[in-house]
This record gives sequence, C-alpha cells and structure tokens, in this order.
Amino acid sequence: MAETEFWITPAAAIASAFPDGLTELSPRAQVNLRGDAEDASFMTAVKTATGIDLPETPNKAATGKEFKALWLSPDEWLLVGEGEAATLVQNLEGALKGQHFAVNNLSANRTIFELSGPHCHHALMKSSEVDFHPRVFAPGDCLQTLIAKAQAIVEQVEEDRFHIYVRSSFSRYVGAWLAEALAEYRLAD
Amino acid sequence: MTQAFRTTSGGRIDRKKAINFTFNGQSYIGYEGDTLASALLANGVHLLGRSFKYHRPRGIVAAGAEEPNSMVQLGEGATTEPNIRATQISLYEGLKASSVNVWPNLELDISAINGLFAKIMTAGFYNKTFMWPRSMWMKLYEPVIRRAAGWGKAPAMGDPDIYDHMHLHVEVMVVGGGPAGLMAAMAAGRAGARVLLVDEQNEFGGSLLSRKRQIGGKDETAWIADMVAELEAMPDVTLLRRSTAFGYYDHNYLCVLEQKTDHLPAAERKGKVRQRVWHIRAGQVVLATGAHERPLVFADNDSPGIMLAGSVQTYVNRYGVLPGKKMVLFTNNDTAYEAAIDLQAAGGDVVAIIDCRTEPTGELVDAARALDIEILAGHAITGTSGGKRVSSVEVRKIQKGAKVYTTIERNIDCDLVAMSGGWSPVVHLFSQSQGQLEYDEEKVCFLPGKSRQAQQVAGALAGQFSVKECLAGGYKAGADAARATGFTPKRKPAAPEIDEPAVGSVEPYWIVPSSRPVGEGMAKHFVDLQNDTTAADIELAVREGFESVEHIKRYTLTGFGTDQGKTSNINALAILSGILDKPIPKVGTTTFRPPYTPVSYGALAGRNLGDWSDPVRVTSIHDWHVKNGALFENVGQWKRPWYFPKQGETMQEALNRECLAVRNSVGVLDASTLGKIDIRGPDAAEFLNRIYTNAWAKLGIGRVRYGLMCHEDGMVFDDGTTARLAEDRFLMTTTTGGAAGVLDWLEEYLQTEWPELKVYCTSVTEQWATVSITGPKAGAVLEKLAPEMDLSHENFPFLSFKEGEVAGINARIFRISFTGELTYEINVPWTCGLALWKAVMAAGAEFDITPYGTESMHILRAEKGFIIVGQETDGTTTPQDLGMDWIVSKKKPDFIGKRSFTRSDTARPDRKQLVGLLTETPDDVLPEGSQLVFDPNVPKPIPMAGHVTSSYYSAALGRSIALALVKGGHGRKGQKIFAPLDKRTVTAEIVDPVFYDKEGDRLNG
Repeated sequence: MAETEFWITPAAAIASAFPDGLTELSPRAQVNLRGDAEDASFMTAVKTATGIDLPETPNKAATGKEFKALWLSPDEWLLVGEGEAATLVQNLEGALKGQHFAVNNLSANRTIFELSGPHCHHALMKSSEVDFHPRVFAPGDCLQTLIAKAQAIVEQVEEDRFHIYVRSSFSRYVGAWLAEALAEYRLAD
Repeated sequence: MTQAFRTTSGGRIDRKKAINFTFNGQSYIGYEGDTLASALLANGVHLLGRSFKYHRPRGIVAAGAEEPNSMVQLGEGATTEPNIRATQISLYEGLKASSVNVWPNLELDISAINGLFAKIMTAGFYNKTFMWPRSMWMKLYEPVIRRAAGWGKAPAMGDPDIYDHMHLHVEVMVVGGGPAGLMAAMAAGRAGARVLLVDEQNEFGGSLLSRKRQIGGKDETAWIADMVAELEAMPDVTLLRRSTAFGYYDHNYLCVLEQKTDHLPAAERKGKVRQRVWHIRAGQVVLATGAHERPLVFADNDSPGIMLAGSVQTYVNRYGVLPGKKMVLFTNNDTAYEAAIDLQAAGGDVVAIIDCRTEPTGELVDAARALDIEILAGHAITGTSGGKRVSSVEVRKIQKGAKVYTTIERNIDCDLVAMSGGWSPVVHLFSQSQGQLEYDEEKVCFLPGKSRQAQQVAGALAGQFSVKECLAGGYKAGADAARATGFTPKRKPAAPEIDEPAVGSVEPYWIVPSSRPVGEGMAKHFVDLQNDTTAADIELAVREGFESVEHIKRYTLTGFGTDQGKTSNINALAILSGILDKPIPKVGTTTFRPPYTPVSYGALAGRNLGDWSDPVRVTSIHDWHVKNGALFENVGQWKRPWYFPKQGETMQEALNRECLAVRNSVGVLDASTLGKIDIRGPDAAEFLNRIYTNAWAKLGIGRVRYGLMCHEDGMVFDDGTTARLAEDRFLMTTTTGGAAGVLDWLEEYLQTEWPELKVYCTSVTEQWATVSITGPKAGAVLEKLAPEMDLSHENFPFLSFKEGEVAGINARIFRISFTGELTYEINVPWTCGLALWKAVMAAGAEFDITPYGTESMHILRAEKGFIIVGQETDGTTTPQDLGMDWIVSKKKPDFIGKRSFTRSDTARPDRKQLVGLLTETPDDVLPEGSQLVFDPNVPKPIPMAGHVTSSYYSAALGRSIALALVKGGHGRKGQKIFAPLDKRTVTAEIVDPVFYDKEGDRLNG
C-alpha cells in the first residue's frame, strides 16, 4: 500500500487558512544519508544509486534525476524527491553494502512549507536572523537555522521561492508563524 | 482654537489638513506635520505639566528626543501610554493627551507646596528621609511618594497592538538622515553597497528641516527631496523614517525601533503592525546622529517659555509656530543668533540678545545688529519671573570669577527666553559601541575618539557644524564604509555652493551666578529638569563625599528618566568639574546605555507572545486528544495529554478510572514524544557500551534493553530502551524532554572524545509516532490489528521487537513496559499516527480501551517503582542511589561515569537513596517535595533526612504511595520517617519502592 495513504501533519489543520505565498507541500520522499565525503568509494556508490554528486560545499543542494541532495553537514545530506523513499533506501543500502554509512527514511520526520511570491523575503526576515538577500543566498542554496524558535532547513528552489523543512511536531507553530508574517501584506495588497 | 501663534506662511506643515486634538480635555486644532508640542505652542499652550519633585510649572524646552519636560499621558484605555514627550508625538486626528504628575489639575496643583519645603528635598532626599522605620515604607512613604512624584499611569489592560521584529543585513548602515547621513548613504549606495538609512523623524533632512540653506542653487527642501528620490530609486537601499536606532551592540549589531502607525488616526491603525524592532547586522556603520543643544544653567531657568534657541528656530521654520512674540535670547555662542533672526523674520520681536561673551563678533552677530536687535554683551540672565509662563528676566553684568553678581542692570519683559549653551554631539550610540570620547576645548564638547567597531562618524557628531562640512564629511564616511566592505566608491561629486552663515565661536559658561551664591536663597539653578536636579544638589553631593560622576548621577538623579539626561549630562559634569577644580576630561562622562529613547515592552516582545512565547510541539494525534476532552501538560515544549476526564469526573476519579483500566483491561497512551535516535556503524555496540552503564555487546538482534546514561560525574541524566535492529544498528529512545540533549551528548563524544569510533547518529524522533497499548487485554487488541503476527510469548517475548503491518500500516512493535503490564509500543510513520490511534480505539472498543495521560502514566510506573529522570533524579543522583546497581556493569573496562562511582562522596553509605513510603493513614497523599525528618521532636532546625520525589493515590492498591530520596534509605526499610507539613506531621514507613506485582507476573498479560 502507498505509505502516504493515511498521512496527515499537524500543520494540515491550519493550512487551508494560509495566505497567498504559503502552502504546505504534499508529502515527498526525504531520506537522510550519512557517510564520509572524503571516501571516494562512498561518493561513487551514492552516485551510482542516485545519479547525484553529493555536494561537498556547505549549504548547497545538488540535483539528480529523481532526487536532490541538500548538504546538512560535512557528513550528512538529505535526499528529497517525488520518488519512492523505500526504493531509494533500498538502492542506497545495496550500493553501499559493506561500507560505513547510515541511511534513514525520514519522509515523515519533517513537513515542507513553500514560501513564495513578492513577500517571501519579508516573511523570512521576520522569522530568521540569516541573510537571505539574493546577493547572498540564491536558488540551489540551503541551510539549517531557526525559523522563529524552531529548527528548520531552508532551501531556495528558485527566485522568490523557498522550501522550509520543519520537524512535524513544530509544523503547526511554524505554519501559523509564517502565515502571520505574511498577514500584513495581504492587508496591503 | 485660533492657533494665534501660527505664522502666516511657511513651515513643513500642511495647512490644508487641519487636525483636531484635545489636551487636558480642551479641544485644539493643529496641522498635518505638527508634533503635539508644535500644535500646542501654535495654540499658545506652554504649561504642560509639573516637575517631578517640586511640582513647579513646566513647559516645552526642546523640539526632539532631548526634551526633558512635556511628558504627557497619551491615548486612553488599553492603548494608553504614560510619559511620552510631546515633542516626539506626531499629531493625528482625534489625539487625546493629558498632563502627568498633576493633582488635582494642572493649573492648581496642590503638591506645588513641595516647593516651599524645597530646602529639605535636596540630593539624596529619599535615601535620607525614608529609611526608618522600615515598616513605614510599604504603608506610608511609598504610596505617598508615588502619588506625589509618580508620572503617568500604565495601562491596566493587555496591549492589543501588534508588534514584530525583522532582521536585516547590510554592508553600510547610516544612522541619522541629516545632510551628513544623506550624503553618506548616497556615497555608499552609489558604490553598490546594500545600505540602510534610519532617522527618528517623520522625514529626512535633520538640521535642514530647521534651518534655511541654499545648496547648489536649490533650497534645502528641494535638495533633500532630490537626495531621497535618488536613494529610493536604488534597489538595495532601505530608508526607514520614524525609526530610532536605540541600541548599538557588539559586532555592529544594532536595534532600531520603527514607529509604523503611531502617527495615524486610530481607525487607520487597525490590523497593522504598530511598531517594529529591526535587528541590523552591518558591515560598517556610519553614525551621523547630529548634536543636541545645551541649556544654560541660571536662576529659575525652568519656567514655561524658557526654551532652547535651536528648538525655537525649529518651531519657527519647520512648524510655522512662534513660541513667543517677545523673545530674549541668552547665549554663549553665535549659532543661536540665527534663531533670533528667524523669529524676527517670521513676525516675532526679539527684545534683546544677552551674550555672555564680552566681544561677540561674526556674521550672525552682525546680521542681528543690522536688524536693530539690542545685544547686551558680557551680560547674563540672573533671574526670571512669571511662574506659569516667563514674563521677564533680570539681567546683570558678568563679573568674571565672582560667585555673586552685584548689580541689576535691567529687567526685560518677554514671553519667551531662548537659550543656548553650545552644542553637544549625540555620542550616545558611539559610546554604546564602546567608542572612546575626547573633549574638544575649542568646540566645547565631547567628540568621538577611538572607535572599537567597524564604523565611521560624520556631521555634527564629528564636530562638523556647518552644512558644508557635513556634506564633505558624510560623503567621506559613506565612501570609506563602502570601500571597507568591498565596494569601489564612484568619483566624488563636486562640492556644491552652500549659502550659510559661519558657525562662529563658543565660550564655555557652565553656571550663571545671581545675587546670592548658588544654593542660597529661593532661586533654583536647574541642571536636570526632568529630575528636578539643581546645581546646588551637585554641590551638596560633592560636600557629602560623592565625587565620581557615576555617584553624582545616582545621588542626584541627574541623567535618569525618559530623556536620559540629554540636556543635562554635560552641564552636570562641567559643573562638577568646576566644583572639583578638575578639567572636564578628568571628570569623565557617565556610561551611555541602550535604549537611546524609550522602547515599549510590546515592541521588545514582538510576536513572541501567548502561544508563540515558546514553540508548542504537538503529536500527530494531538487533535484527537483535544476533541476527546484531554487536559494537557507541558513536557519540554510538548503538549502531552495529562488526563482525559469524563463529564462530571474529578481529576482523581479520572486517574482512578484510567489506572484501573490499565490494570484490569487495556489502556492506550500517545508516546510519540519520546526521543528516538538511530545509531549505526560497525562500532555502534561499543559506543553504547561506553555511553550506557550496562553491557550492550551481546544484545541479540531483535532484542531490546533498558539503559541508564550518566554524566562524567556519575549522575544519571537520561534513560530509555534501545533496540538492536541489526548487527551494526540500534534504535535508542530517550526521555521526552532529554531528546535533543542526548543527541548533542552522543555527537559531542563521537566528535571530540572518540573520533575513532565508526558510528553515525540520526535523530528520527518525528519519523515515528508511538501508540502504546498496555494491560492484560493488550494482546487481544493487537491480535485484531495484526492478525498475521505471531504474538506468542515464545516468538515475541518481553524486551524484543518485530516489524510488520498493524492496521495496514508498516510498523515496528516493541514489547517493553513502563506500567508493569503486557505492553506493545507500536511505531508507525509519524504522519500515520492518527490513523493507527483510531484503529486501536476501534479494535479496543470491546475491551473498553481507555486513553490515559501522563499523570496516570506516572502513577502506574510509581506503583512499579520505575523512576522518572528529572523527578526521582536531580543531577545529584547515581544509579546506586536509585537502587539500580544491577544496571551498572562491573565487567566493562570503562563507560561514562564509571570513575566517579568510586569517589568517596559518591560511594558513602549515607547518600540520599530511593525508597518507597507508605503513610500511616492510607488516604494521606504526601505533597511532592515534602521534606522528611527522622525525628520531628528534636529542637529546630531539624536535620533533614530527604524529600518526597513522587506521591500519588493508587487506585490499584487502594491507598497512597510515595517515592522518596532518604539518607541511607536502603538500610532503613521498616523504619518510620516524618514529613512535617504546615499544620500537621505525617508519619510514614520506609518500604521497598516496588509497590505492585513485585514478582513481575503481569508482564505477560
């Protein structure tokens, strides 16, 4: 059966009232991978399994065919995509057999908000101390920070479009916070 | 209502837009662009309030942030604000303001009688007078002082307005939008830097809003407009008006308060953010904060109608208001002459200029002479009369060095005294940023010296008092700041022709004697108008031994209050320098601290209020709990169901029902909040061996074990079960509140102590929702949900786990128990938690399955003597103290905490140890936290024997039970112990902490 058949996140209950520019994305595969980036056999095996050259530059995302990989730390990535998480886990387990690594299907661990439109930067400025100005942060960049007071991964997917990955238990808090951050612009527009 | 003091034309007000407002109940009209202060002056209102201590009549002194008087209560109801200065309030339709510190009303203030007792209300008055007897303070002194000296009233209701915070990163931040600041922003903006320009006023221009200047063939208005238009067209330049940089912290981190709606009528504010605090991180900061004018300290210099000269000029030029029609100017410098010239040009009459300098010369002096204004050089104002409004001044010839000036030269009638003691650069932010100040003898002021941060200074702050210097200095500061942040400034534009008078000279004149020495007689030489501090108070403080400027400040109150002494600090320390006969730089200044001007608590809190004061974490089953009447308990940031009362049930009745359901049939708990960590790698078992106190190497795949973690000191800090998923893979659970701390702990050890171990940790807490079904019927429920699964005790024994489908969802099921009953903890992907919970409820319906919360969970585990970390432990509790020696390996070569177990203090036999308590009266439930004693009859203080850590009524046992930490408790079983409470002493017996099913027969259902 489809794993996501019963899926519901805490944010779903408030998502229908989100203002323009904020949505909760439908569930997608999220697989956490840890391994040694300096070990060529690890990198090659991942490339074989996913087609992705794992980013070694901090806070960069690399895109493959079915999945992209977000750099989380020198030995940790989050693979995200529309494909089947279980298959991806299986492929990685197979390709990396005998090596030292860790792979975990975390598709339910975080929900993803999409923040977009002319006021997405304003909402981020209200929610984070990080500099998301286009001169500093561009499509293909990602990082881990706090959104309000909750841990999050922020990824820019295109100009004026961000994906914000939030742990499920915090998703209602963050969803409501971001909706409120956009409220004044709805009033103005 | 007639605006009798409004000029016929001019000013930056919009005369087509009349604004109605009231002050002390009286209706007035002003114009858009007015402040409350300018609108009141236009209506001839000078008397705004009474002074702090003596209740002397006070009026408007300045036109900006430096204003010491004119505090009003603004607005009504929940949005009312106390002690806002009229010079800082933009006028809006429907504004209502009233005086503070007046009773029964402004005109007739009874407390003004304080003035007659002025002789005893000197420096340190409160410290000296209200010391004894102590009991009188609360009953009498404090209420009376508050009535007499209190200012405005805080709103009694919650603040309904919206506040928020925003973060902004720029290469160059410019503070102050006068000629220097505008030019700095322009230089940095043209170079391509991201620039932020903030100014506290409603429009940019700074001093040019008050002074008429031709710049490059344009008047000042056109010049400002052109500058602002060009800056606004730059995409990466942010301009913030009505925005005060109030704090300057380390690493060029500054905070700015933007007032977004305070100038709007109430109807237009609805739903909008009222104030926003901006958190700025800047590569470079250009401070162009300008200068404040200093008052002169002369006898009775505090009546309404005595104002700063530059502020008079501002009211004339910017607001089209004549603060008076017959003005006397009293000055020690040239710049103030311009105020006289402008007032005269606007239709006022300058009756005399009193200049303390013997031979004033210069362009402005000549211009005043040319207007036939009488100049009394080498003279001073030595007294005033008028009370509620100045009506005349007494002028004497200055006798150099004398303590008393003997002859009255003139009495001059007037309705306005403009005074100027020179200009003090606004060094507040520079000083907050830890920059050092240097005293400039020629300019008679403190100037920025050595910087401690990446910053530039420009304009009047840097002693550049002409527009020409400001433009050049501003451009240089902006270009230097841009260069320092990696940008190349454009070629410097040619300096424009500027038509302005020469700045001229200034001569220090810190205190003006009168017919009697300062401090003698009735005359008062005010230094700090807001705190009613006089020159005599400073002299007295020095006589009493307070010589440090910081002591003077605290003893005399100089520099405290909403204005933070912007007009008084420098005068006070100059007077102190005179008394001590020490040069001003040797006296030093007091510390400038944030905020520069007052900031409301609402603004500081921003959106972090109510539900958002801390994140609320919820499980995927949360809404079911809400719908089914759960009451919640905060556990860390989580909301966990506490218990589920049915209609009409008391808390105890609900707990009894929930606990008995678990003991007799089946209960269900949402355990999703437990921390979960995936631990993987060839050294995973070795890693756990070192982290936990017990042994892990031989744990079979598919099996589960309970473990305790200690810090290096041997004290328990977390516990939980860990399952072996594969040879090289474990799933660890942690306490709900400890999850993040444990992961950090594991990573710290892997990264810093044992980098040789090949182990990866991954937090999977919210990947898995956990539904725990427990009780003799738990197996029957699970059988219905997982018909394919072999649940026999042989194939699925206690402390093992299985994977399989439960209710059609892929799940991991763990056989562990925190209740002592047969328990299955079913883990499914977080997002399927609700679906599983509903399936469990449906399957369990025939057994009357009962959801229970944390309170029943606590009772059930206490009945079994299971500890809760943080309840039975407090960071000073070892496994041995808990009677859990069985879980501390004697064979492992090492693990965290091992070394500490042999320390003499950790090993001593009389440590507090975990025991059970049974009260003599079975219904008596001891309060948790109760102190325990071995003998309640010995003289006090009675030696403490320990304390109660957990205490409940147990429905299963039909009596109360308690856990306690008792000194040497393990050896005291069977002994009596006592809990002396407020009105009675409870007797209890020390027993084993396992109260229920000691043999553990119930684990298998």
